[in-house]
Amino acid sequence: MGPKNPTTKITQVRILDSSLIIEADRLRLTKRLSDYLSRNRIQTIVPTKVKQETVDEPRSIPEYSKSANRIDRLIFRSNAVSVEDPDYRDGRTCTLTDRIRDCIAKKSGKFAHLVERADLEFVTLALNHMNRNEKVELVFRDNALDACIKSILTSYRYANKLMITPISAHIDSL
Amino acid sequence: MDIMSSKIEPATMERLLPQLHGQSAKILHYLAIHGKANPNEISVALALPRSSVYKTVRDLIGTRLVSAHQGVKTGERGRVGSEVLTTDFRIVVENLPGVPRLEITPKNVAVFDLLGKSSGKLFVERHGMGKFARFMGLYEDYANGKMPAFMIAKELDAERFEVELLIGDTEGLTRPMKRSVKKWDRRIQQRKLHKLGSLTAV
Repeated sequence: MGPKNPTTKITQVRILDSSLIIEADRLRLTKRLSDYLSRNRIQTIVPTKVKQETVDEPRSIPEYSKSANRIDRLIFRSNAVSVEDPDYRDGRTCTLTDRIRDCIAKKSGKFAHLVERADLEFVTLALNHMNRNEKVELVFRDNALDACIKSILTSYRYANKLMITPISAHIDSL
Repeated sequence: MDIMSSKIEPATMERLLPQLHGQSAKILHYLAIHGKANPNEISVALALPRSSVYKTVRDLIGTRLVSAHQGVKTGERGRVGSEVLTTDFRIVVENLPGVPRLEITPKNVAVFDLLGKSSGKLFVERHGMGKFARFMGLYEDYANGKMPAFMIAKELDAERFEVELLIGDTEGLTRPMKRSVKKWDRRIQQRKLHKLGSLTAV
């Protein structure tokens, strides 16, 4: 899926992980989130994994299927967010993603192979966009991820292109 | 707190368990996050009526889940002479059916409270109480910034959706709803106006 308006040059994108979408649905604010994201001029992107976690997986569980259908209808089918696959062809992007994986594994006291690349798809997507000279706003809730992303991307001089926003900042604006 | 260093009577446990739910859980969780606070701060931060905070705090002190330190030193928040509350306990429940060991601490007391909410009930229904007890332990790591939510989901072989719902409900416990804050603010404002009115009348 491409940008919503191809005539406008997008210089900033917002990339979400699953937490904001699930939290908005938990608070029954999915419609408001959809309107908020559509109203905003910044394009919102999620990786395929996020659609899996918020729609495909819960849809197969009867207790959560209603939420999954609501998210699908209001967030994905309404084009409030676009789904994009991360690109792993760039060696530097892979190195950075692997460093973040190592950092998370170390923090949680697990082996690095237990943290898969797919778990960090939204970070890879952010790197893809920053490499295209776009500014990226990353929205998620995890403190562990926050510390690792900040420390590694700052040391690789991505700090001026990256802004990390906690989901509470967006939830409060709904 | 050493109240749980030895085996306790079932009667004491019965008295203790209700203290780990609802408003008491909110206050314990708030104290766990902030280290210490006085009842007034808690009342403002959680948008709870002061009288009910004082009552709950009295009950918590009675069950020794909260300690009160008299006399505020200079530089600490709160009025000099007002109580400063702290909490530090570890309740270990062993040999429950399907749960070999369940540890309740101030940091995960809010998760324990989820057993009364739909997200917690659904999780237990799908994965059993054993996994819920494991989630309680993992949530402490999550809150301390050691483990991200996707790792918890993997550890428990659960869906990310379920884990995010549990985390959202846990964190929502000590985040007052916008509406209640507004209502609280309105009430304070009305009280101030009322005072002003009476002053003008004088």
